[in-house]
Amino acid sequence: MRKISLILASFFLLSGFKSGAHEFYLSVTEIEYNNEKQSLQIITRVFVDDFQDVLNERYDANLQLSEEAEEGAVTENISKYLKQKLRLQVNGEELQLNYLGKEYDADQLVLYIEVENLSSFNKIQVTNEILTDLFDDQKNVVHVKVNDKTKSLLLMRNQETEKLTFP
Amino acid sequence: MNKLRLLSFALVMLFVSGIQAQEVEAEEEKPKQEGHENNNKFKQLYKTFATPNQYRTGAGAPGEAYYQNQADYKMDIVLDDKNTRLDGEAEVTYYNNSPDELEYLWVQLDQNVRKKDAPTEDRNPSGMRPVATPQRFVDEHMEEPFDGGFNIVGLTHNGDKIDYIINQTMLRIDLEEPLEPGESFEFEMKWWYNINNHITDRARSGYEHFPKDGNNAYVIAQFFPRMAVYNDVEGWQNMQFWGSGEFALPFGNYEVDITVPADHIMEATGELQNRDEVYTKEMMRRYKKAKNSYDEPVIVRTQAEAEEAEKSFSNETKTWKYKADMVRDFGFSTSRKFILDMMATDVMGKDVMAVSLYPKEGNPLWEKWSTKAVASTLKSYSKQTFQYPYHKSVSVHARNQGMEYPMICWNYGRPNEDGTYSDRTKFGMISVIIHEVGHNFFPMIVNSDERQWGWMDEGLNTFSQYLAEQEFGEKYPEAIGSLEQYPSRRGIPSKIVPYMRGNQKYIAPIMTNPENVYQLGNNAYGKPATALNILRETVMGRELFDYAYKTFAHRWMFKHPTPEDFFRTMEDASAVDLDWFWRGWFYTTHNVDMGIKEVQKLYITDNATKEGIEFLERYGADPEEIDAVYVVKEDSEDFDESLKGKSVLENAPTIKEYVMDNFSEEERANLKDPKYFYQVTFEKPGGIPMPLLVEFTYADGSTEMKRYPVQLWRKNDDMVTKAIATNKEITKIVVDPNLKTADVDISNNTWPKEETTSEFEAFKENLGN
Repeated sequence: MRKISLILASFFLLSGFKSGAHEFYLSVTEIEYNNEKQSLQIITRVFVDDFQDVLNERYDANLQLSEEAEEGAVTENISKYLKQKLRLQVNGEELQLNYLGKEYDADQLVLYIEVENLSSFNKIQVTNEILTDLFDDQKNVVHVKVNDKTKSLLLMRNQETEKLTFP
Repeated sequence: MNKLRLLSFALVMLFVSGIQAQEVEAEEEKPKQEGHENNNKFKQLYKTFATPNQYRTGAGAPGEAYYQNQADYKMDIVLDDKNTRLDGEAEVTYYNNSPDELEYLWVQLDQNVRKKDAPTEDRNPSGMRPVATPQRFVDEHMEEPFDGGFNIVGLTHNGDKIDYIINQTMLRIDLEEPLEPGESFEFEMKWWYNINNHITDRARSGYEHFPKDGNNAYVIAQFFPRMAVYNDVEGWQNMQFWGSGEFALPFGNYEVDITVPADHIMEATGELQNRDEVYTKEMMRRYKKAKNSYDEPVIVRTQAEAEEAEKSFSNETKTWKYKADMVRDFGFSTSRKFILDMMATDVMGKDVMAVSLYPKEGNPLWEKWSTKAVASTLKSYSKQTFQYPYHKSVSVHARNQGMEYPMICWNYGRPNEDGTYSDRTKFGMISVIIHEVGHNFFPMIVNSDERQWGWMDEGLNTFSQYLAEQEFGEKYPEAIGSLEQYPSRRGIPSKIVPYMRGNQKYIAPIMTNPENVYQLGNNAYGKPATALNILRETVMGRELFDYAYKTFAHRWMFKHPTPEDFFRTMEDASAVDLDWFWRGWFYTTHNVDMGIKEVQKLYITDNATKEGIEFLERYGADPEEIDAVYVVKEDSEDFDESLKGKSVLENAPTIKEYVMDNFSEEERANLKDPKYFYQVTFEKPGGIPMPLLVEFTYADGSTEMKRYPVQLWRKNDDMVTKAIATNKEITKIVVDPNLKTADVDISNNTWPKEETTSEFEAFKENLGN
């Protein structure tokens, strides 16, 4: 995760790369299909400050994401952003992602998203463009777990969509 | 003691018998077996570690022939605030203390990473987006790139031109005569470069522009041609600078004169030589007051004075003169916007000045916590390592970066425009200050090679930072408010789990060059810091760890250590064999996963069991003639309900008779009388062996912790069985109940198995409530 090293930002880039190559801009998404509940359960972790920046810049919002003093139409904007940037297809059909809510974990934001009433599948297409509109070098790690098998993707700008097959 | 052996006899037999049976089977099935080399996880790291020699000993200390070269600098620097340009002149003296003749010298030109034709970007894949905003398109494909590389105006030796060649960020000086051991070489260099905007470039050095008042705040580093390190390990460390792998620098003495607009306020590496020329009388008076203020910072340049200065732009200049001995680098920060505060700090009996430099945009947060965080860090780190040897430590406010130099560092943490700030901003700022001030110890003084090993300074420093943060929280409870402890982001084992259990494709061992890892933050900071915390708390214990860690810091203070020097010292000073630990945590991407595979309840009886008879017969013993007790598994056919709830002596009168024949009444009173016997099979799907921490819960609700040493895994890396005799019934067994080992899968840690609620389900349930 980016600044996974906030504290550690001593590694911040020296150079003026217009799209630097350092690994600080990262999100992690875990997607798990729960057979019993017939639901796709998604947890996405992003850095709070990045996420606040992207919502404010993109929607001209004046949000403040903070555990103790949240301001603005936070839920609406997060929901809108996720709809645009995190997309899943099963059997060629776009799934309706339902943003449930979030938690703060130090400098990270944990987002909970669900797709209910989804029958089991073995092919899924994942598009994750979260924060790639703000940072050229944003990387998004996605772990997909179906039938106890986990497969991982590293998605980024120009490579934001991948298909996975589970045997 | 040995009288008790009888009671464990049966269990020992059982354990041995298990192994024998397996071996016999294996032989029958595989008549031909392949041999192998020693692939035991406890094998010593002779092949991996560099061979000890006269420069670096097997104990991890500098050897009798240890040497390091030195570079002294005398510099005149002029900062042109209007044109954001820096001009410099330097006299560099390089001392060859090595036993080798040097035909050439390597000088680092880090700013060249920002030359417009630098290959920095070319090494990364790139593609064309199907759609782009006009601004982005112009930016990427049409605009002339910023040219921020060094422009070398002159390079001479005693006034004569020197032959040199530049390869990207490295400049080779070709000497007419080789530089002999014990000799020095002087050269002069003149250069200039365009200073970049470190906010838009996300750089370590540069300026931030404040459009509201039109001023810049500069944090300047890597601004001069810096000598590379020549040593016994690398020869010249001239690996190119690409951006992630930081710096390798020799120690030296610096005299630096820096000329800036007369209305600027500056801080820099080194002792200010002409304070009364550059400070106003009022500032001098406040500075003297600060020298005696140990509890609260004294404002030396006020916000009102800074705001007044912001309104104009002086065309006059002032020269600030600094001297620094035994530093490996030099950085400075200057602006007319700066507020300055200072507080004296007693660091183990020595007065050190804690200093903060920030524009009004940092307030009210900075005046409140920056200098206190600096002071607290110096004390904590000195306790862990050695007394802080410099006379001051400065924390400079930079909008969004943290970066360290000797005696000075840049730190983020900016309140909102109305002056309010969240806890996240506050703790982020205090943490980054503790981290960057801590870098004075690693790598500014314990001077490791950052270009090659990012973790050596970042990992050690992030570990020490965790301890320093916790101490800060104890010292300033008002800073952490209602929290129980300071909210450290790294160091706690459970926090590294998501990384350690992630896809192996995107994980690299800690011992990997910073340019080649996928997740630098986890690789160089989080994982090594957590590994060291686990080493201290769970493997070595605090006392042994702290002594060895301090020994390493003392041995390599003002020297250049390698990873092996650290690994060896930690072992050498503690008598704890750690090769398995370094291998697992530092040289591989394995993770920790230990759990409980099976628990069997056992009973002891005199009645010969089928398994027992087979066992004896295999060794030609006649069960009839041997006085033996037998172990019965609860699920075996020999099991009889009547065995339940009785003591060993009741179920196996043979033992009772033996005890009466061989023990006095008093001795008998001291014998244990275990009623419950278990055979617990622990599994280890994870590749890293770790001490096994087990919590037993008994029927009466009491609990007991048992620690099995890591050597438990030395002969079987997957699974190990332990016999447990107790006089209370066990109702629950949990492996690593306090999450101290970074176990990546705790679903197998509990017996009887518990249904664990997933993070997702737990959140959803909470929502419902």
